Amino acid sequence: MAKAVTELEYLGMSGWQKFCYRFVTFFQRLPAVILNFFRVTIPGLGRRIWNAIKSVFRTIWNAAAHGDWKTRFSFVIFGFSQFANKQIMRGLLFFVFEFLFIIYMSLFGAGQLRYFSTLGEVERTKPGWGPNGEMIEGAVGDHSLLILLYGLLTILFILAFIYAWYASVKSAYAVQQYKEANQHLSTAKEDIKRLADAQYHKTLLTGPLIGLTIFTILPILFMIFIAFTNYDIDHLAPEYLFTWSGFNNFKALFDGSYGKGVEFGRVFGQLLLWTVIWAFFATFSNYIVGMIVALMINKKGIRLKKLWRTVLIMTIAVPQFVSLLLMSNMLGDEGVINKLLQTWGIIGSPIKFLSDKYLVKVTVIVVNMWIGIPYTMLMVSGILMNIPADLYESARIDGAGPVKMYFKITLPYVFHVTTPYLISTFVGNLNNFGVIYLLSGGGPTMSRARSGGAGESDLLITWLYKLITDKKTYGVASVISILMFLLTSILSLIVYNRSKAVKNEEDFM
Amino acid sequence: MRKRYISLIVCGALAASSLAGFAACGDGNKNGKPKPDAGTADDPIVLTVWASNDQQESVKQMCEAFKAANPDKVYDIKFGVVGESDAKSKMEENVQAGADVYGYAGDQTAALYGIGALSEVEPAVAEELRTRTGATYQLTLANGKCYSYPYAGDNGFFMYYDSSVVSAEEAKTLDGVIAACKKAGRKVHFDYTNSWYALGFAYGMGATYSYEWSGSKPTGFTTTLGDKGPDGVHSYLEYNGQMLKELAAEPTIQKGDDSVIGSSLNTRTVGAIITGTWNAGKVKAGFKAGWPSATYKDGYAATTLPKWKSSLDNKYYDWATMAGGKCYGVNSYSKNLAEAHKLAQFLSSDEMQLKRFQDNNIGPASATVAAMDEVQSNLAIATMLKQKEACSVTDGSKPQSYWDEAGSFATDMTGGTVTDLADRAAKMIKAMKDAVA
Repeated sequence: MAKAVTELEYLGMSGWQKFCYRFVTFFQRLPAVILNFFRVTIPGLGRRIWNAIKSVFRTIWNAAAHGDWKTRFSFVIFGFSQFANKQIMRGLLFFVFEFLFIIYMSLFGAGQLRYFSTLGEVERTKPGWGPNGEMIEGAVGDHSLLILLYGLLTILFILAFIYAWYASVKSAYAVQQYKEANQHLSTAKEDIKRLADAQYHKTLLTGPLIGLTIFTILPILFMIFIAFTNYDIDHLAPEYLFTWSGFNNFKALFDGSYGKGVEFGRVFGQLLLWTVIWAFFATFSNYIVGMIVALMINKKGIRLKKLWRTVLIMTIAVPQFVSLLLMSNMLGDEGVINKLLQTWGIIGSPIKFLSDKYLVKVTVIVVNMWIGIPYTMLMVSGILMNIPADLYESARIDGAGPVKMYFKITLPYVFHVTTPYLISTFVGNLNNFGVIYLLSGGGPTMSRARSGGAGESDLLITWLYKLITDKKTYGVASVISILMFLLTSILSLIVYNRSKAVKNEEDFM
Repeated sequence: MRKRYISLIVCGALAASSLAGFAACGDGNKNGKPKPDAGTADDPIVLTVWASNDQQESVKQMCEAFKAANPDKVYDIKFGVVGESDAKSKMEENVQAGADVYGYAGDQTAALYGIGALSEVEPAVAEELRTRTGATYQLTLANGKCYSYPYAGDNGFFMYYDSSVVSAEEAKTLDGVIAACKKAGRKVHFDYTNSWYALGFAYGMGATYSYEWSGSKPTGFTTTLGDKGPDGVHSYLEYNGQMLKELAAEPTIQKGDDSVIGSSLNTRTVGAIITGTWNAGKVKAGFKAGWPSATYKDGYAATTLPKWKSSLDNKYYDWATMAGGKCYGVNSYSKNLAEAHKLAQFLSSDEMQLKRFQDNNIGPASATVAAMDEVQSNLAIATMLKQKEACSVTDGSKPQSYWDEAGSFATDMTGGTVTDLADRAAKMIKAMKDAVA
């Protein structure tokens, strides 16, 4: 336990001590932060949601209780009140939406929703041959995947419809109130004008919002829904039906009950641990070594600075996948490096850079440095040049040596500026598909039986790829991606919030 | 006063797009099989055929021959560039948009059947295929019925060797090959941790395996891998595991994929290679006279897999290859199913197998074509066909769990960490059985 220190004591610490102090206190405060999250943030959020719901129902109640016949009629026919009060365009838009919705539901939506609870009932009949060599035609069955997708779309559509109904009622009542107060009702022209002016944000956000819904929210919802189905290699649509399976996929991940001959729980645990270890080392090895390189190049008296920088940046100029594939070939058991070492008589048998389960982990971290260091070096070089020279000058006059100056001036300065970068790199490394996939392909295969083809150096993300492409266990894969999403988002949220607080409470200079 | 236009526009756009989506997909979702094309000039029979890039030209010519052989109907045959090894993943993406007729690797029959990418071959035709292709017919089985038309029977492994280093006599046993290569400072290439190669020793001793299928779902796994071997103590799989362990410890053995074969041929540091016909051109060029320098002699030779000696009982045993091939499949979602079957049958006929051999050096599945002098004069293909006859195990449909567990076993055996061989072997078999239970 780090005991609380006074402000004066804290200021008297060296850069490293400060860093360590903050590191320890961060974890000391973490329980309180999490507790605070559950005791204050969530109830607060709950209250706000409750208030919002209350206000919605109050609006509806007011409109029903105090509305005139036009407003009340708007409960059934969208936009009636607006229409009757000569807000033609607005009324028309509401009405057209209701009209479209009814057509959609009666033609398609209702049908899709009917099957949504089972995800289809009729299995396909395959074509075949009769006893006399005549062809028996097959029949198309239900397509569970499409039913799920369209069912989801219909649900979203219904939610939109409910919202539009609320908006229509609210707007109708507002029109009535304006009318009663003898205020001016905006015309269609004015409305449009406002969209280009006071309401311009809505005009701007429409496109992104549509895009976000279709390309991000819908797929994410779809994926979450799949996590609750038994969609896998034995239930591939359109040939077979799949259906809801509750929390079976979640259970499979934690108690290993999944009957596909794979111990998902064990593999998941092992790979999660390795993923975190990898992210930690991949992030900090690049960071620290990159900083050291930048410092060395930046040092006064070093000649040909630009040349050194250029040499390092050359590795950025080569596309990452090219250098990774090359490295993968060079480091193989029969690769160039092993061949050369054997020819020179330095080693007898090949070093298993990529095929030993421990060595491969070291290899991927080291090769990742090759790719990452130039970026850190570039970034840190820029920051180093920004540190005011008079700081060093006065430190020198006070008799500080280079090591002291590094820990008192350079490190705090750089660390402060790059904390957000470190966090995003860490989270990025948790999902660093490219390096692992191209370099080791996740190999070597886990030697224990029932590992389902997972490799020793697989990250969760590359394992996910294997689960989807080779094993087609979509349900379990969805669960894993949900868990990964939770892991990365919670981690980044906490650390981002904390780092900002740290930044505000202390001034490094 | 708040404006609600934007939300309305959003909803409207959503509605419109989903309406459009339904209009497009509505009939694909429910019953309503499209009517087959009539085959007249106005309504030609449209068929799509997938072939790999290097076979495009050849397959196009074959399809022209098919049109010429069926002058009473008008065909419109389209081509897609999808190789046999990619057919499965392409079909998995969207089987309803897949080709009507396509080539694929025979061991994927069950998987393709599972997604509906295969339809049953007419029983009478299947009977004819059985007699014509002999053992290869096995690989088209799923569900006890025939689902594909075999056209290539050359998938498997045997041994190429450099006859300037290894004599024909030495090539008869694995320790002979290793000793000869060691003497010449060469390596023996064998990708022993690859699950396709890894269990060849046990199968060579007579072990067998088979999967039972209910549709595309494997429901049972029967194997004699765990039965006691000739010494009455160790099982076949233990013999195999012991051999893998020793090979991994043998510095003369090198493992790796085809790129490793290529690089070791470039420097001719390899003396014998366990691989298949697809590398024939590469090996021939690597073992030619004067390569990589003038002192090297011509040495391109191939033979069936050598016998191997087990340290468990000091006896020699046969070594088996996985024997498989390639087939044409007919997509069960095809609109012109009957015509597609006709085309697939034509494309896999003896004539076309011979043409495929002439155009692309692809070994035939048909016994008649295989026996032709022309085919027998091709060393690699002839050796492969001989290997298949002599010692092989059918590379039938297997679920992914087979490959996963065989791979884990091989990794473990060669990693030098296994102390209880019998236990590890039993675990592999149990895991394979559990995976399909």
